[in-house]
Amino acid sequence: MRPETLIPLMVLLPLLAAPAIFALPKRLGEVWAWALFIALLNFAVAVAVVVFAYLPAPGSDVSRLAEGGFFLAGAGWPWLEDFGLRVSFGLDAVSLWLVVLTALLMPITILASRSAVTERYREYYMWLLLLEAAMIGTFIATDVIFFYVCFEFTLVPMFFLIGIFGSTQRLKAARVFFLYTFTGSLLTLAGIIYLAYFNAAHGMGDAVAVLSQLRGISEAEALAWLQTQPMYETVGRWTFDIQALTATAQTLMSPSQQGWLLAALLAGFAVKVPLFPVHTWLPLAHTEAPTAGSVILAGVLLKLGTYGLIRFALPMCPEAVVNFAPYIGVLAVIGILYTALVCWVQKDVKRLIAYSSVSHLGFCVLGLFAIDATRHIGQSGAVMYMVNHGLSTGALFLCIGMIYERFHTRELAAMSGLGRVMPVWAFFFVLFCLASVGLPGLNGFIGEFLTLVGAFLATETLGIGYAVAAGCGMILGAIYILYMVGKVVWGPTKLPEAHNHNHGGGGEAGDEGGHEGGADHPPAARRKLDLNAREITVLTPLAALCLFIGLYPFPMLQSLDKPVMTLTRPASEVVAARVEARAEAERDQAEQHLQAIERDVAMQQRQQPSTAMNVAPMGGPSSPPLPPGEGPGVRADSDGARAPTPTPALSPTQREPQRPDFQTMADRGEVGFGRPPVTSPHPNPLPVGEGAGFSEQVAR
Amino acid sequence: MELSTVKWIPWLPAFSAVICCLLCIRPAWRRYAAAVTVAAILASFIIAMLAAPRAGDPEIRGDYETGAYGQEIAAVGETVTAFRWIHFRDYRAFETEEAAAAYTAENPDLRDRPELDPETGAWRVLETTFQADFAYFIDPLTVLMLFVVCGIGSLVAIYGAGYMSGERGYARFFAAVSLFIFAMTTVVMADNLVLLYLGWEMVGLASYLLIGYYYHRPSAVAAAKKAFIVNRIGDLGFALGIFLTFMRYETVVIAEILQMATSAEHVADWRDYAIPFLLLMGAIGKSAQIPLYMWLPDAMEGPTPVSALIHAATMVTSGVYMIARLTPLFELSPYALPTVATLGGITAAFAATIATCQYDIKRIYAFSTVSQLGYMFMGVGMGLRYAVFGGLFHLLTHAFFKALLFLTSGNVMHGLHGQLDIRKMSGLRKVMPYTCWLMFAGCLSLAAFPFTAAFFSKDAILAGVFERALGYHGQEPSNWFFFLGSLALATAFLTAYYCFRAWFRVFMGPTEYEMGQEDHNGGDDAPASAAAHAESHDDGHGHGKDHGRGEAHEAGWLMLAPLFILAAGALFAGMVGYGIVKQLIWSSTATMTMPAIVDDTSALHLTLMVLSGAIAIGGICTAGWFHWLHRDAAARVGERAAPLVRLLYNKYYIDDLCERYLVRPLHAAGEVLYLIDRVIIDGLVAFFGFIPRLLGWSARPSQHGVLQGYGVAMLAALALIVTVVMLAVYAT
Repeated sequence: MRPETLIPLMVLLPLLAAPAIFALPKRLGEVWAWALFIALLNFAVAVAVVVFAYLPAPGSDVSRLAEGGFFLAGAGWPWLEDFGLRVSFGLDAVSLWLVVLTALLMPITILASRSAVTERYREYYMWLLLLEAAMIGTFIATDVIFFYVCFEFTLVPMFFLIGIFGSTQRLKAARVFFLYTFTGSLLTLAGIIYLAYFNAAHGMGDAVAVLSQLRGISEAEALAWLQTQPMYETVGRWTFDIQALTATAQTLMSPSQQGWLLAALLAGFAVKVPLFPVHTWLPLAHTEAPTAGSVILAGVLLKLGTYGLIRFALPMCPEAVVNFAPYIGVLAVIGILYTALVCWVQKDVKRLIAYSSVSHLGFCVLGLFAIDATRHIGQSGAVMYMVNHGLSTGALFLCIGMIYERFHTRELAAMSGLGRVMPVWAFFFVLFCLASVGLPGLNGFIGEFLTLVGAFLATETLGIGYAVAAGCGMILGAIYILYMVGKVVWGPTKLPEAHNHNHGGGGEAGDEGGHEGGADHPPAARRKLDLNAREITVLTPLAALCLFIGLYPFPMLQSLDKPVMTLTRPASEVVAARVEARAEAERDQAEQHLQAIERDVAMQQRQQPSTAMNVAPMGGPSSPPLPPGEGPGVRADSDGARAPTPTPALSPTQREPQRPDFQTMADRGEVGFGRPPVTSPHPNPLPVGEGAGFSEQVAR
Repeated sequence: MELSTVKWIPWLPAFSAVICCLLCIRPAWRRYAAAVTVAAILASFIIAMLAAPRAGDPEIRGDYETGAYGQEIAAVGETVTAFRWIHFRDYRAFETEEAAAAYTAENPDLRDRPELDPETGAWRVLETTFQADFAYFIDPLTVLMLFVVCGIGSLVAIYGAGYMSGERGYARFFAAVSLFIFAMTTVVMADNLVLLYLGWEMVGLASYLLIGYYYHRPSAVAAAKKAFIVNRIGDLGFALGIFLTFMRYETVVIAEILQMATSAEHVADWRDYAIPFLLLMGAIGKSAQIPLYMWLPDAMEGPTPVSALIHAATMVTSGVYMIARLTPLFELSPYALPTVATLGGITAAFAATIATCQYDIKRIYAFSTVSQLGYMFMGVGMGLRYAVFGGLFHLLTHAFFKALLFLTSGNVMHGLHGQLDIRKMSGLRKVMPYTCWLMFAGCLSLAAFPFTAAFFSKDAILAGVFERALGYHGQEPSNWFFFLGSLALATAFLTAYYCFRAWFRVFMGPTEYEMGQEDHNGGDDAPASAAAHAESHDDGHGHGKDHGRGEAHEAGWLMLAPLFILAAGALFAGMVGYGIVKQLIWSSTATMTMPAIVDDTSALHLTLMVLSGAIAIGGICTAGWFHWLHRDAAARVGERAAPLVRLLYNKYYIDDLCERYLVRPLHAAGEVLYLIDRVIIDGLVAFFGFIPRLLGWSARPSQHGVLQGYGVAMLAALALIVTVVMLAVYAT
C-alpha cells in the first residue's frame, strides 16, 4: 500500500462505516463500540500519516514535513474531467495538525457520549462518523469544489445532531445554525465559481495583457514570466485546483476583483469563525447542542472558517487582504472585548464557554490578518491557536457535559464548591480553564502570545493599538474564566437538587478508578459523583496534550514555518512593496526638500552676502549628502535643534534637522540591512530596512 | 558540579509538583507530599549553591570595586539551555548557491540546507529569527535570588510540613508550593523575556491556587481572583513591553538585549523610552506597588506559610528583581528609574500609614511588605550601584525577617485557633515563649534596630538616595530625591512603630486572649452545606485530635526549628552578608552600567546610620509607651483622631472606590452588551428565518419545516452554478 492512500482512507473509513451501523444489532453497546473502533482506527491512520510526514519522501533525505509543500498528495480521481473537477487531496503542516486534532477529538467525544445518548443512538453515531468524514475531507482537499462539498456537508450531520439530540431549544438552534452558516457559504460558492470562471475565461493572451497592465511591464516580459510559472499550464482552462486558482487570483486579478472575491470568501468563512457581527448563531448552537456536538463545533467546525481564511483568502486576494486587514482587525478586536464582557454576565456555564469561543477566535483572526512584510508570526500563531483552542475549549465542553449528566442543570447559581465533591473533575476543569486563559506553560498561551506579537509587529496592517486592545481581552478573559471557576469549583459546597439522578457510567463496571481523590470518607451517595474511569480516560489525553504543547510546541512551530510562509507570502509582498514605495516617496520628498533648501541658501548668499556668513556654518555640516551608513541619527537632531535659527527668511532650515534622518534611511535602503548584528540594532523607528520584501532580500 | 546541572533547579520542584498531584489520589499517600517537596527544594538549593557560582568570569567577581562595570555580558554570566521552546524562522536570501552554502557552513545550528526560491530564482536559507527557549542565564544576581528562593523556600516547606499536618488538602498545598518554586526559579533564571513571562504568570497561578487554598471560604476565593486579575493587568503591560523590546532589538534573549542596550553605538529612540514603563507595569503588579497593590493585603487569606513564602519573601520581590535585571534598559529612558524610585518612596510611606491602624497581625505585615517593597524599588530606582546593592540586599534581609514574622504570627494563629485580631490577645509571652522572642527578633530587624540585618540594608538604600540627592556622583543635587529620602526616614519611624505596636500588644501586658472562632486548619465549611460541614468534623482538620480546643499552646519543634534559622538570618545576615552580597551585586548585570563612586561618602553613611538607628529606637519607644505601658493613652489618642483612624483602617477607601467606579461599570457594560446581543440574535433570526420561509412558500407552498430552507438554498445554488457555467462555456 502506498502511503498516499492513507489520506483518502481517513475520509472513506468513517464514510463507509457510518451506514454500516444500521447493519449492526440494535444494541447501544455494540453500536457505540463500533463507532469508537472506527474513530480510533481513523486516529491510528492519522498517526500513521504523521509518521510518514516525519519520514523523508522517496528520493529525498529531508522529511516530507520539512519540505513545506503539500505532501502525500494524490492526483485523486476524476469527477467532472471536462470542467477540471477532480477529487484531489494532499496535506501540508497547516492541515495536518487540524486533521490530527479532528481525528483525536472524534474518539474522545464518542467515548464521552457513552452515557449521554441512549435513544436513537444509531443515528447519532452515524451522524458523528459522517461528520468526521466531512471535516477531514475539508482539510485534505486540494480541489476547491471538493473542499466546498465537504465544507457544506458538515452542516447536515451537525444540523441533525443539534436538532435531534440537543436540549430544549434545539429546533430553533439547529435552524439558526443551518441558515446562518449556509447563507454565508452560498456567497463563498459564488466567489469560488467566479474565480474558476475568471481563470477559465482568461486565455493566455488575456492573461498576458492583464498581467502587463497590472504590473506595468511589457507584454513580452509578462509572457516570459508567465512561462516560468506553473500557472502557464492552467490558466485559460477549467480547473478547480487550489494552487492553480490561487496563482491566477493573486497575479491576474485587479485589487477590486480581489476585493469582491475576499468579500465572497469572508461571507462564508467569517460566519463560520465566527467574526463579531455575525457571531450570534454560535451561543445558541453551542448551548443547545449535545456535548459531542459542542465539542466538535468548538473544536473543529469553527476552525473550518479560519482554515478557509488562511488557505484561500490570504493567498488568493493579497491586495484586498492588506487593504481590508485594518477593518477586519477592528472587528476581531471588538469581538474579543465585547464577547469577553458578555461572558462575564452569563448565568449558564455552557453559554459562557460558547461566548468565550467567539472571543478566542477573535485572537485567531487578528493573528491571521497581522500581515507583516517579513514575518509570519501572527499566522503561525493563528494556526497554533486553532489547534489549541480545539483542545482546551473542547475539553471544557466535555467537562460541562459531565456536570450536566450529573445534575441536569448548567446554571451557575445552582452549583457551587464542586471542588470538594468532585476533586478529579475540578482538577481537569481548572487545568482547561487555565489553558483557555492563556496561562504560559499550557497550550493556550502559545497561540495567544504569538497572535498578539504578530498583531503588534505588523505595523503596516494592524499595529500596536490592536495588540493593546486585544491584550485587554487577556485581562477580561481572566475575569470571566475565574468568575466561572470561582462560582463552580470553589466556594461553599452546594449541589443542584437533581444530583441523585442516575449519572455517568451508564451502569457499567470499572467505576472504581478515579473518584477517590477527594473526600477522605465520603458518604456513599457522594462517592459516585466524581469522574469514573471512562471519563478520566476522556480527559487525560487532552490534558496531557495541553501541557505538552505548552511546554514543547517547538516541533509544531517548526513544521508550520514553511507552509505558512507559502500562504502568506503574496500578502507579505504587497506589504513590502507598499513600505518600499512609501520609503521611496519619502526619499523623493526629502530630496526635493534638500534641493529647495540649497536653492534658498544659494539665493540668500547671492542676495545677502553678509548674513550668509552666519548661515553657512549651520547648514554646513548637513548640506552635503552624508556618506552611506554614517547617519548621525537622533543625536544629530538634538544638536541641530539647539542651533539658533537667525533669520526668518531661512524658515525652511528649521525643519532641516529631519533631513539627515531621511538621508540615512535612503542610504540604508540602498545598501540594505537585514537582521542587525548584535551590537547595533535598528537605529531608525521606521522599518525602512524591512521594506525590502522577499525579492529584495537577495541583497542582504 | 558542572554548570549545566543548573537546568535541573526549576525542574526538580516541577517533578515534585507532579508527584504531589499523584499523591492526592489516595488519602494514605498524602502525608508523603511534604517530604517530596522539601527534598526537591533542598536539592535545588544545593545545586544552586554548588554549581551556580561557577558561572561567569572569576576575575570580575574578584575585583571588588570595578566589578561588572563596562564588561562584556558573556564574562558576567553564562547561559545553559534545557530545551527549545518557541522558534520562528525566516528566509535569508543569497545571490548564489555558494554564498548560501558558505553561510550554512558557518552557522552549524541551521537545520536546513539552502534551497532555490521558485519565484525569484534566488537562493535562500531558513534561519531562526525569533527564539525563546527554556534556557537559563546565571550571573551573581541569579545566584543571590536562588539563595533566597530555594533557601527560604525549603525552610518554609519544612515549617509547612508541621503547620499543615492533618489538613485534607495537604498534598494539594505542597503541589502548589512545588509549582511555585518551579515558577519562581524560572523567573530568576530565565534567559529570555518570554520564559521570564512564563515564570511570572506561573507564580501568579501558584499564588492564586494557594490564596484560594481554603476554597470553601468565599473571601479566600475572592482574594485569589483579585490577586490573579490585578496581576494580569500588570502582566499585560509586561507582555506589551516584551513585544516592544522584540520590535526594538529583534530578540527576546536578555543577555543580547542588555549587550545591545549598553553598547556605545546604541541610540535611544521612542521605543526605548516606552519599554521601561511597560515593563514597570508588570513589576508594579507583581510587587504590589501603587496603584496595583490592593491584592496583597487580601492575599493573606492563604495559609500562613504561603503568606511568608510567596507574599513576603519571594514572589513579590520578583518585580524588584526584574527591574534590577533589566536596569540597562531602564536607564535608556531618562524618566524610568526616577519613576521607579518615586513610586517606591510613595508606596513605602502610604502603606506604612495604613499598617499603623490595622488590627489583623497578618494584614499589618502585609502592608509592611508593601512598604518594604517600596524601599527596594527606591533602591533599584536610584541607578547608583550602592543604592542598587541596597535594594537587593534589602530583598535578602527582608526575606529573612518577613518570613520569620509571618511564620511566628502563624504560630500565634495556630495556637489560638485562627485568632489574628491584636485587640483580642495580650501577654502571650508566657504561653508561647519561643514564638514571642522569635517574633521579637523579626520585629527588631524590620524596625532596623542597629546592627540587625535590615539596619544595614535599609541604611544602604537611604545612603544611596541621599548620595543621589546631594549629588555625590556628579549629578545635580536634587530636591525631589531629598524629599524621597526624608520620606523614607519618616517611613522608617512608622515601620518601627507599627511592628512593635503589634508585638507589644500580642506578647506584653496582662495575659488574656480569646480563641479564634474557626479552626484555621480550614476544616470548617461555611454552613451552606450541612453535609459538608458534618464531614469536615469527621475527617477534615485533624487539629482537634491532637489537643483540646480551648487552650493556647506553643508550636511543635518542626515548626520552630526553621524559625531559629530565619531568626539568625534576620539578626546577623546584615553583618555576615554585607560584603558578600555587595560583591555579588557589583559583579552582576544589574550594575554593569554604573561606575564606582568617586567621592568619599563615609561621612554621609555614618550620619545616616546614626540617624536611622535613632529613628528606629524612637519608633520602638513610642510603640512601647502606647501599646505596652499606657494602653489607655493609645485608646484616648485613637478616639480623638477617630476619622483619621477610620480612614487608615479602611485603607483610604481605595478598594471601595475601585469596586464602585471600575468593576461595577464594567459588569454593567457586560449586561448591556448581552442585552444587545440577544436583541441582535432575535432580530437576525427573525430576519433570516423569514427569507427561506418566503422562498419556500413561493416554491412549495404545501411543505413546512426546517429542511425546506436547505432544499431551496440547494436549488438556488444549483441554479447559480448552472448559470455561471453556461456563461463561461459561451464566453470561451
